[in-house]
Amino acid sequence: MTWRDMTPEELVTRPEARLGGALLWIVITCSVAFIVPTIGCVVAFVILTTGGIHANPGNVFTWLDGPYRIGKVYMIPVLLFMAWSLVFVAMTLARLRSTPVVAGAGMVLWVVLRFVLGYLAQAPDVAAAEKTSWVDGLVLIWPYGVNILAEVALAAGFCGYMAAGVRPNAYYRRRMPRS
Amino acid sequence: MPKLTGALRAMVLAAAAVAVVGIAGTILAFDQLRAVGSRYMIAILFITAWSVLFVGMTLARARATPIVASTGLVLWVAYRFCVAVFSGGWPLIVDLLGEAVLAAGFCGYMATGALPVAYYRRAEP
Repeated sequence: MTWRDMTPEELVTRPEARLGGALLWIVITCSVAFIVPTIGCVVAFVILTTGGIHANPGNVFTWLDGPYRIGKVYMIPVLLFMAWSLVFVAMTLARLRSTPVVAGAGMVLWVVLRFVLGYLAQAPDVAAAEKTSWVDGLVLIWPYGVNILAEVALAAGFCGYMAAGVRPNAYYRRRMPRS
Repeated sequence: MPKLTGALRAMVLAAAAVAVVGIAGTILAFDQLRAVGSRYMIAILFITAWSVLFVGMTLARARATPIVASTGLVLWVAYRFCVAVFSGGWPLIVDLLGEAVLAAGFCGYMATGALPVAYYRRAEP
């Protein structure tokens, strides 16, 4: 596919140059993923520092220790995704041309981390418990592998959208497909 | 005639891997699937069936593939999101939001990407 630069008039009038469709849903989801836990952590911290440590209203302290309690298998990818969400939303609001590349790379890294921590790193423990080899350990936890392979398919679609989607190209790179 | 290349080919190859591992695992190692619990088992069986359907429809170049594939993935993420809301803490919900972001990108690519439009609808990119 070949692209052409949008004219100043097209930048104002074309709907593709505005935040909408799947791109808008992505931005909203990322905003929620960062803002809600951040507010929860701030509220919990305020309660903690004002002497409310014995109260724990609404189980509010789970905002602080939730990632630790869930274990590193989820904690590291969740914190990475929250950080990525903040960067992505900021870059989107600034309409930086490099946003699609940074976004795609971030989500690929996220899926790779989930593959390593949620699948490969689990195999040695399973193998030790079952007194078998590391490869047999991988086979024993195959359902988690299926889950992550499906995420690979999703990530490929996400990267395809960011690289070749009409709206991301119009919004971030100010260009349209040459007709 | 557009060919299966780029991100679309990567999606189909990953889906084919899901189908192969999911079917082989279900037939040869069903105990491991049962061990993960009924909620997770439903999600695994669903995504395996989705993969078979997606790969089959892609090979047949069915025009309905983008809408069927996107709907299936949205249902898969929505189901797991509901499970996380009712059984997990907030980190699990954020984790599923990450998958929702990927799913939105997938749907956007299937709906407006030049290659999927050209490949399934036999239109020029």
